[in-house]
Amino acid sequence: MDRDYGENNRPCCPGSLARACVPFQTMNQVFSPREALKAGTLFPELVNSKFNTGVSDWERSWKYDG
Amino acid sequence: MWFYEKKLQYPVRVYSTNPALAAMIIEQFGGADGELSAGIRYLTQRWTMPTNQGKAILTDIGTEELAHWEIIGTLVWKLVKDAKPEQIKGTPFEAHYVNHGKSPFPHDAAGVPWEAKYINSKDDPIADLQENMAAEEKARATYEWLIRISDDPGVTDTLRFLREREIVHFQRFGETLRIVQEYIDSKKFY
Amino acid sequence: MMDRAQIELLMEIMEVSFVLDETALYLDTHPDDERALRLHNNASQRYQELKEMYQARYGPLTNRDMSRLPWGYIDGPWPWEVDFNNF
Repeated sequence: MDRDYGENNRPCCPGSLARACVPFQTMNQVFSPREALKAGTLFPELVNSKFNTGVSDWERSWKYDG
Repeated sequence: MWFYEKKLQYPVRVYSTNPALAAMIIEQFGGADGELSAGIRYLTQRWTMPTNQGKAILTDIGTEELAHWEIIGTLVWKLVKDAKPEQIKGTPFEAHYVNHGKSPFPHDAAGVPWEAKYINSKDDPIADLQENMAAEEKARATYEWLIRISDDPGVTDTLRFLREREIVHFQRFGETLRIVQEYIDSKKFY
Repeated sequence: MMDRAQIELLMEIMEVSFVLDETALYLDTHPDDERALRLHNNASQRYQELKEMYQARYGPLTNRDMSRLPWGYIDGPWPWEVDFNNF
């Protein structure tokens, strides 16, 4: 084994600067095989149907918050 | 080594003949942020990636990307296989057709041929994994633009599947980055 | 090309195979996850069973699998030729 950290020892995102940090997924519920293939993933929590609408968040908030 | 299994990863359905759309889909066959770039990039990085997990993820995602390259080639082929020359003339596919006929070929939507400058392998696991995460986001974004211009529901459905795969790959590379960072940090204390 | 029964069985294999694609990636970054491993092993067993069924009827899916005479691996339809439109 070339790891010192166990599954549960990883802090969500340690406070080091200048490094990217993606939280670990923990498997929970899973789709059936048919649903998984349709969805593009076995894991409901990884389904992302949010499409980039082409307007940035900054532009959106500037417009509507005056 | 690589084996081939006689099946696609996803059931590709194409309901129309549309050379113009094929010429756009080909962006993911031979473009900078396409599946060939992804597959070759990840497989190239394997030799110098530390940790067994890192080597496994690069192997498995790299192999899956080649399966996606096959899906894109299939989309292109199904969109043009029944096209008569009159349907191809005047579309962006015409220039491709005079060189390659109906064969898919690795160039992008503008006709620029694939090149290794689209990828890198730096023998630096942090740089390599960050490049991979960026690549997955760029591929996802490209799929979103392609989904917007697709008017064939079968093509759109396949593009949605491929887009979701990029999101999952991003998550796995993000996890691998954490694993590799911990490994490198642990080696710094003698 | 392919009759309904063959496409149905092929689709089942594609579905279980995709589960394995996902469990393999998950296990690559979570090698100690026991639940995931069980899910993977069960799916792997199911995949082997479905493959045996398919190959007995329709011939080898890889050039490493057994075949009757003539060599069935070369038979069409090849994957990009399969028509899933009505499925």
